[in-house]
Amino acid sequence: MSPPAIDSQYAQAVEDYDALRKIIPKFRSGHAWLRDADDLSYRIRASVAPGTPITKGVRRDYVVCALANKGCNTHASVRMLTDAGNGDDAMVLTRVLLETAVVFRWMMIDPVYRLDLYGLSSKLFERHWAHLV
Amino acid sequence: MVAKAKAALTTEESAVVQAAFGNVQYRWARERLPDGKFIEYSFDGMLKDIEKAEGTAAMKNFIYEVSYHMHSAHAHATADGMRQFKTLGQQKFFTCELGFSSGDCTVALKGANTYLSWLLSHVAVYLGLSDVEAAFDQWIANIQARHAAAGPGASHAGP
Repeated sequence: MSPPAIDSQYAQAVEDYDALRKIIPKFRSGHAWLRDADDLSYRIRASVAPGTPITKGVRRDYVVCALANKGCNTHASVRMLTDAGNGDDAMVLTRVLLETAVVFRWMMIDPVYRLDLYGLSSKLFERHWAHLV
Repeated sequence: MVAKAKAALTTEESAVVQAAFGNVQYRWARERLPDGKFIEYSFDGMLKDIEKAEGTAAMKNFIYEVSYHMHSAHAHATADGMRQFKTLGQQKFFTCELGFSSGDCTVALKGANTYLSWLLSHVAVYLGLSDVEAAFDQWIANIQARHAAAGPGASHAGP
């Protein structure tokens, strides 16, 4: 492909990027209410050893919105890298964005249980980090 | 993008990689079943679940194909970028600072656009923001219309 053709394709991708970014502020104007913590799903509570008190719940809306924020940030980072000509590293982040989208869509198939598991997994990470340091 | 990557891999390379690594699917999620056993999901397994739940419209098929391919162990854009074999071929002496990398910026940006629209349109559905969902649908429709107008094989880099 000739350099002008490559530039033209990239310019189109940038135009699409800008159009997509213009939609994002609509989330703010939508005023989506973030619900407070809910009880852990029955399937998880049923697996906890009898007699163990469970005092905390899961903020499922926060899990969803955190993934949306992460996706928006990664998307912006891809643009910074492609503008700089760092295509290899941009592709790595694009793959991260793909993984974020697929994991989110997969959780939405069984949202209560899987969002709870996703929320709990962050506690697992914290525990691993605590062991490391 | 898929066609381009497939074309870059010869039958011989594919056979050697298969012999060396075999099936390299790795675990992405684990769920406990009511009987106490665990079911493990690979990334491919997750995609199959999504396919089953969403059905197979044209746009979705595209996402599945690209997604499967991005995660195949044989022609992996990320691994290719990390290894940097191609850029080394441009040097006579090792300098450790080559400048622009060989990855396709257009593919990366178009892919990122596609995945973000996929992610955020489902987030909008979850939050009950139908007007936001409609805006993402329109974004996709505009791109599909442009490609339809350009004819088949107009782009190698996604919608």
